[in-house]
Amino acid sequence: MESNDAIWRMLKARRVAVVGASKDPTKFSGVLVPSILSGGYTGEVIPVNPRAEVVAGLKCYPSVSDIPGTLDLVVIAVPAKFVPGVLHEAADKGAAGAIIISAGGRESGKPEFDREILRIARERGLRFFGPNIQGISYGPNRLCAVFWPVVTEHGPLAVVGQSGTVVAAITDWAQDDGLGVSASISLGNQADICESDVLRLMAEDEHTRVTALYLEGVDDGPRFMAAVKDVAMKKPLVVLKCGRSQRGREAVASHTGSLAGSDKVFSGVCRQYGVVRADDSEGLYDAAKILACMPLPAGRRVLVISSSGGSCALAADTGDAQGLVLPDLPDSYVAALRKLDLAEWGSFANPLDLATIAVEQFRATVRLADAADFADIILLIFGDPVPGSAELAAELAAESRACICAAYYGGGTVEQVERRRMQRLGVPVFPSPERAMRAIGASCWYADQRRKREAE
Amino acid sequence: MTGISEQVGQMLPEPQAAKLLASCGIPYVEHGFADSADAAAEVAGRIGYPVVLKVVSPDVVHKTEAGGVLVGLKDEATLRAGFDELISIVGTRCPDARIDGVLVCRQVAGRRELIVGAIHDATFGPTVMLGLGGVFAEALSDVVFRPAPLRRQDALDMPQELQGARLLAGFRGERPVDLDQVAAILVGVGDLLVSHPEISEIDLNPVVASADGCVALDARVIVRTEQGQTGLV
Repeated sequence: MESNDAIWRMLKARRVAVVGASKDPTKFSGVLVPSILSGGYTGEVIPVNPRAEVVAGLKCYPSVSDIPGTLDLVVIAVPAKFVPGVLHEAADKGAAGAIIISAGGRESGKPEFDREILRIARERGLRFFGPNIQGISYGPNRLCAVFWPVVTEHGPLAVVGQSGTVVAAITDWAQDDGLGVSASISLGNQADICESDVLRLMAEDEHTRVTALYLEGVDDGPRFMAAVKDVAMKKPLVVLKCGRSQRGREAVASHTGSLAGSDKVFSGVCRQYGVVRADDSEGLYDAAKILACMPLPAGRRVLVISSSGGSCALAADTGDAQGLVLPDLPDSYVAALRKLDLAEWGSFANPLDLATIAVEQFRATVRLADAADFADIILLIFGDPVPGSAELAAELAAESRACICAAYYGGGTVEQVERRRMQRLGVPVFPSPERAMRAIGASCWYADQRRKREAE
Repeated sequence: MTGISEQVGQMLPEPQAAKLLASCGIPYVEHGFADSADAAAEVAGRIGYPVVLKVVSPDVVHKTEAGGVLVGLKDEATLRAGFDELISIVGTRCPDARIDGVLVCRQVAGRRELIVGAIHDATFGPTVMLGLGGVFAEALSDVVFRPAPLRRQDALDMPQELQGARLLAGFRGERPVDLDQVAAILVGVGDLLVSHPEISEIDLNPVVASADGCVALDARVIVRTEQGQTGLV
């Protein structure tokens, strides 16, 4: 297997040239250098453009060859026909590789471009991302060689995908939410570095706890299977793959062949190696979030504690569909609850409707439940503005035997503040009871896979 | 992109397919080949009534549609009449078909039917399938796949992943299906595809599953034709 050392040198680059850096910030190519600067990069960024002397306040060179000294990485955003020449110059400067943003390869019906730059890269000992990508961000190096979004909220999630837009969207969500991102990598045409390489890379990355992967297709099935087999049990991998509606080729002679839509075969591959399969963008993000923040639950028993009745039923319905178990409350627990000063219109069942927004009631209820040890996961639903809920959830997560996660649902302006604080304190929090229960389902599934393989 | 191999090859005659499967430890319904009513009666006498008759012809792919399957033959008289009827109907519906004879099979009763199959996926290679419903499998489309070769543990997971997994557990007075044997068949089919790259597709359909074991009642083994004579044809 090829070593990833060269790719690591690219991601951890200390000296980066941006070729095709425009002075005009309204152009895509004018955004790259400002992105790198606003991302807080502490290495040296060097714009290259023969028609500019200064870009974003930095001295600009007419060509890569004109830059004094060596380079680690070259970001290329010039028309396709100039890319081969730039690659040669990058190699002459000792670069480990390139991020090729330029389009004009197989996505435009010109696969020979992809083959040509791969040939040059191989000859000259370079690795490259792309072509045809939105860019790459690697948070630990504060390197955002990307049009958008710039990673400023750092965290445990690596976002990787064959669509720059999906990668950008999930990255945005993770930043808005307070979860944060370790790496945000769009793969483009994958002429050299492909999804399998990046999965291995993220599995090695000490800053990444979970990888969220968006796929449109797999070019090399055996290579993909070998990669997920190596990584998925070490670090959770969540995959969203489009094309669920596609059928396989009908020109087959067997029933098996006609039943084998490509999607079902892919699902089988995921199950075989313990890859969490998401159904949609939210599912991808939510599963990645819970796997990044919550320890793996010991079982499927969920206690739902809510401030409001409406959210209870929604949580219970979704839990059922996920194969989660909402155990009855043990008599001893109900007896203990009766000694608390709870609202009379609450209900002593699971889901447990506290009908209160008092954090003290939440705390006491969770502590008693954890002591009674009848749930593997406790979901706190704040169905109202609950001031102090972020600290409460974090405190309970730290002290409880059960895994703690939360949903905020209908909490107004308090929610907007508390939700982000809670997430930043490391408690996974979701915008609805259903999304929380689906994420719990994903977490339980992955935990089952780990246990099963550890038992072998 | 994931897809299905395009090759549509040649189907092994059922007696050969059955022999191949049995050699891999896949239980196939007790049967014997017969090219006359006398021979059919002799086979049926050996395996016991009731029996099923199935036409053996290199030219008949869809046996039921060709009138080439008769079930519930309960004694020698109905068997002999059935043999003549089957040869006559297939001859009428498929006048150009060469008819080698019939397969006389023990009639197996069972309410829970599975489909087990294997294909070469264009992206992921040899792949095993398990589905519910036997002959209704395509309508139900409740199927799960795994890349081959399968380990026994992986094969044991597959029935649990079916939407209708409960049917295989104790249900309506039926005892739970012998899942160990389901797993053994899945592993066997996967191994067969991996070790014989000239086989492009396999269908075992239906596989009757019960608490006492599983048995395949019919098989299609498709061999790539462009590879010419293989050890299998």
